[in-house]
Amino acid sequence: MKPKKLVTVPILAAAAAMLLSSCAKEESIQSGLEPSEPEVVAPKVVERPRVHAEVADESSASSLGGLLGQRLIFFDYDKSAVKADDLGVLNAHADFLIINRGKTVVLEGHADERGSNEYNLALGLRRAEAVREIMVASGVYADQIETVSFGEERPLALGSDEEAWAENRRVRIVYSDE
Amino acid sequence: MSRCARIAAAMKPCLNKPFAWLIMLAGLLVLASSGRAQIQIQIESEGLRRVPIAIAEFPGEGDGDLRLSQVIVDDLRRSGRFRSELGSPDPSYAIGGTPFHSSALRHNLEYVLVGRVDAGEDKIKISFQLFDALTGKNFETYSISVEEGQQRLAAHVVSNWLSEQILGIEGAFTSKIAYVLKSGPKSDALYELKVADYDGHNPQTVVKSTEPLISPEWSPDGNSLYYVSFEQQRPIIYEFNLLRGEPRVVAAFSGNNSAPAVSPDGRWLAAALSEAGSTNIFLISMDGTRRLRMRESSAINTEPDFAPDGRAIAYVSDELGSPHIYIWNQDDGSETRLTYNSYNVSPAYSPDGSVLAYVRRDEKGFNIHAMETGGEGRSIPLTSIRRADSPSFSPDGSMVLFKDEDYTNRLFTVSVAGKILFALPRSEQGEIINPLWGPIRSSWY
Repeated sequence: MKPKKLVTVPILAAAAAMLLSSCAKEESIQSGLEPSEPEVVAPKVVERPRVHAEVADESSASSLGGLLGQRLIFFDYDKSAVKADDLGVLNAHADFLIINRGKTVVLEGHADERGSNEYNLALGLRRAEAVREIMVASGVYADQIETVSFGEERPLALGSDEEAWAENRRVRIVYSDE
Repeated sequence: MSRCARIAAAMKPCLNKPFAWLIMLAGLLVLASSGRAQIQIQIESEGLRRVPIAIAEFPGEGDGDLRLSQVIVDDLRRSGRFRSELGSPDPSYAIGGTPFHSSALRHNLEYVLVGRVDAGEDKIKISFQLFDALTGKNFETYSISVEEGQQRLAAHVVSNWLSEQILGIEGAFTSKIAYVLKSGPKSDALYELKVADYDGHNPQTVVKSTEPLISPEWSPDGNSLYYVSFEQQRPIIYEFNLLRGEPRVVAAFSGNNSAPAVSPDGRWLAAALSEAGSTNIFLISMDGTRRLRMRESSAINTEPDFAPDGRAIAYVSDELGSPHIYIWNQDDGSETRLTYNSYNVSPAYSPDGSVLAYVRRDEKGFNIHAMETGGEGRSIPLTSIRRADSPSFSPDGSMVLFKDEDYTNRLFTVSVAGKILFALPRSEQGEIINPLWGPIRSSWY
């Protein structure tokens, strides 16, 4: 399945590239996530996250691409409100979880490095909770979602500038079977 | 004495260095305090007056890190309470000598410390004598014998003695700090919970992990470190007992378990828990049987710090939008808001409870500020940098230890009086996270 709508925000493109590179690391590249998408701009500094083994099956969200291939939701500084642009992605994940009742996700909240580690840990959790609330409101069962925060401890982007900070203020949607 | 002997025996599992010297140091401290009443200089206005003192170079001392006279000069200067300088004002200053004080007075010096280092067969002897140029009083000559590798500790003991003799304030120069060091490539980082001398020397690793460690907290007796570990893929609070040398889980409720703070009596752990989805401060009894929510809120409430009398807790809440510092009074459960503008986090009480150090986002960036907890609640900036982080007071209240995120492999101190800023020597490769000053002494050190 091809992506229906390509990301328009550079940071999301960066995020998509990150996902592609993490997939490419594994031998089993899914056809829906072609690494050669021309619209994907290689980011300047993108750190590969700790790669979870990509064991794909027919109903795996990672095999579906499109909105479901988007796993990162980004936030403004010291904010935990989900932006309107991201609701489409969250609704796609919600729909997928509703028709795959046995699937579960972990929502990982993160913050940029500014401010205190402890406040950022709480902020990361609140971001994950904000995403959870939207998914639950869309009909996902509460027992399908777990939230966790890594605060500022697991940055995606290196560097101490607005570009890196913007990439690090995120919630990552992680399917438990991936 | 027996206490130290017991400690030395108990410490063996944790440390690989001989500790027999502790007994001798304790002996010296007893000696020093017996002479305490002889001189009582009251500082007129703490924060303004710095006692001028010269530290003569010690014949026989080493170079670099082992230049003990420089260690003492740095100790005293960092505290903001002394104007210390290296070098003798006159050759007549020597151990057992009869100095001509006119030369010291001409240099506006009130005190001169002289010393000597003698390497013996298996011990190194550090002798020293203090001269009071104003009164003409010559102190007795004292000496400390230490093993190779402990010379800096001996110098810190001399600094403590000077603080005690000249100011009547117990020095904190032999106290320890804890911090997390993150090293290695970012995708495969190593996290080490470390303990070091207050000036960053002699770091020792207490806990190692491949997952993040943050938020070390000393127990009031200095024998345990509490910390947050992500080893279980979520934040959980552990205690590491330095005497027994083993970690144990103290808070692993669902959600985040973080920001540990121990009450001064050691009976309660305050921590930020997020079991219900929002982060709130709870009091957890040390035996694990009781858990009380400090306050009810859907906002973020975190970073608790107990007042030294144990009857109040400073904390951070973003109830009104951005994070601000509040004090929760245990007597009646009331709350006092301390900050009003911008972004304010990481409150840390001074040892007497009169001041809070905290991080405030001001026009320069994130800086360490100090605020009175009572009265008019005045607040002053202690730093003027871009990205300060993690303030904590020295146990004598003279200095604040902090991190500058633009120089992450260094530690910094700033004196409350006079804002004397010091970058400590670079002794670690990697990023320092959450430095925290420990108590003035413990059974462990």
